Amino acid sequence: MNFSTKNRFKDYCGGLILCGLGTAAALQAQSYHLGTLNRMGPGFVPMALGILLAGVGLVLLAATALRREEAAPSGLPALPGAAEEGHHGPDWRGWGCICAGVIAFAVLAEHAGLIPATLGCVAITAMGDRENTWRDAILLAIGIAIMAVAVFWWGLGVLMPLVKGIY
Amino acid sequence: MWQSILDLGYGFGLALEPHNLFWCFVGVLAGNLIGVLPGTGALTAISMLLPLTFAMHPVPAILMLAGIFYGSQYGGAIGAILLNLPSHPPHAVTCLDGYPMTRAGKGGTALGLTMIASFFAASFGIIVMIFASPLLVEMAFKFGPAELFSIMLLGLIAGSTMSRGSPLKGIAMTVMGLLLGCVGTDVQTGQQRFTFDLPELADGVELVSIAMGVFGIADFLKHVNRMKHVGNLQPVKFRDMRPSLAEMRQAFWPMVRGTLVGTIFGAMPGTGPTITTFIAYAVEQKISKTPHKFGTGMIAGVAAPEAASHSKTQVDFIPTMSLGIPGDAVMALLLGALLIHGIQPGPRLLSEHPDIFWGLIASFWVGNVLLMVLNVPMIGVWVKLLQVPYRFLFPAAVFFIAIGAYTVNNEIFAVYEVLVFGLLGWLFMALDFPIAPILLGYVLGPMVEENFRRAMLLSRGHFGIFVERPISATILGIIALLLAAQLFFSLRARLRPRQAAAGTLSFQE
Repeated sequence: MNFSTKNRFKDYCGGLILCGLGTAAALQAQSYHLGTLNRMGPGFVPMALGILLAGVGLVLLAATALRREEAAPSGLPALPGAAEEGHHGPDWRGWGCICAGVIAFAVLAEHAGLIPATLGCVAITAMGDRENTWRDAILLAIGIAIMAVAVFWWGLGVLMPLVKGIY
Repeated sequence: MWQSILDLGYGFGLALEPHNLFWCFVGVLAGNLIGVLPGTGALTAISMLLPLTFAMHPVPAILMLAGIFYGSQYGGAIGAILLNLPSHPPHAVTCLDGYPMTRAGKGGTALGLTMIASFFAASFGIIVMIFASPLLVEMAFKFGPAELFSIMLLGLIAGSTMSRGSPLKGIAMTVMGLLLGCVGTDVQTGQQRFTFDLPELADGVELVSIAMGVFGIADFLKHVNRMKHVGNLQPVKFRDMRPSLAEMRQAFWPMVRGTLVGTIFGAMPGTGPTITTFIAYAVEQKISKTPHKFGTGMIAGVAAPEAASHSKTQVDFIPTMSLGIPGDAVMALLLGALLIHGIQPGPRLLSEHPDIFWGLIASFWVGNVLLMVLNVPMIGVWVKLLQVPYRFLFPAAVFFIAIGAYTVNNEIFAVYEVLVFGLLGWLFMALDFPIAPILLGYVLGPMVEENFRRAMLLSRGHFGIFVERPISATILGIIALLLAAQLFFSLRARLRPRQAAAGTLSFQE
């Protein structure tokens, strides 16, 4: 996909998402009391915002459809970006591991305590990087867990058992 | 005027109290550290450390948060100059001339000049703040709901259309933020809105969850496996950091001009920090006798944008503190933090909480001095930190975010909230939407709604109230001008694609 078709595709997606979200918000707001312009109910502003969001989505769709082919945006061309190199294309491993890491923290914090939650969260998230081995991930997790106990449990007194049922 | 100076003395007394001084120091140190780390800027730093401040007294809390903000800006320049790595978009222009200076063996000088320029610009910004805020407050007391609504609208529209990328997309994200601000219990009627029967949402979406989601998790999702590897660096000794007299002379006027650019842009609500540094750089290039030399290590190309970013930072606090209207996402975050502490920034802040206002101003100076003192001996440590690989950094940061979200209310629900906002922010980032306006909309949302409803009640349902009152009408006029200018430039760009592309800067991250 060349630059301009890719951008066009992105803008179509963006426009559709906005229309969808805006419509959903407006429909949901209808179930609240709308009120009058003089005395607005709780549903008035959310309703107006939903319609506005859907409207912006429609304008974006229309502008994308009417847009002629264009060159890549220029400007200051040689700007170094922080995220230019390395892997390209969808990175399911990275994304999956980061999401799984956050979920692991939530689940383990609720059922197992601070230490397991820290170990699980850091180790799983670390595996999202293609250069980390299991050994790196576990060592990093242990290091962070020690720090977490010192800073959050001992230092700041976070209300979470270290290991549920034991301490 | 004398009153201001007396008040400032009171502020210094507060800022130098050992307790407050300590948290200011922690703030600038943490901000500097996080700012140096690749991939994290002020927004990430403040979002991550925000939960820590909830247990504190409001004065040290805001001193620390402000310290994180300007500390991270000092830190961001280090990566830009030494590694060509803008850890934060506003520093991208600093790379253009800062990195060539490093390659020419003058990295230390560039850092030293940056520090001097930053300190000078920050001091100037603080002085402007001291004298401009009371004036603005006096005016603000005449504001009714209609004026407040109009000025917030100005902030929102300027914030969404004058940042990088497409103005339309910026507006979309602002509206999205406003909708997120509606979630929870309606203050006037007690109606639950968009809560989907989840009791955790009755108090609205957590500020911390949105901030850490869209500026933390979303960022990691975007950068994982895509970060540049950092090679070996020449060690920078702090003897190298002292610029020669000739270099100082070369840097002086760019520094002054950069400061002025930053001050002007700071006073305009909604102009982002990135656009400010770009303009400061463009101004230098335009008036330089040797414009072709820019990009090869010109001192002016480093001093001006860094000065601009620091004076803007300070001036940005004026509307935030004296009107209660944040100019950009960082300010929205700080305002949100104050609201969590039960302090409503606005015209009454000066009389009701003089300790916060003047303590904050005095702490800016104290913090900036601390940063100067800190950065000279610590530069070696920062350089080492720059080399910490991203693959170790982001898992640790994800953990900090997760536990930070949990500690706000000791609720696991907030952790899931962070994930949802992370995915949402990442999706919109991938579709080239600017995400900072979400936060601005979210923080301003409830205030916009309240003032809009009040104004309409006062006018018995007539929209005329917004144009009949002179101050409000003027502000609406400015908004109309702003939108007209945006439309004009975008139409011109469409009609003459080639010339326009060369003439306007586009701010694609």
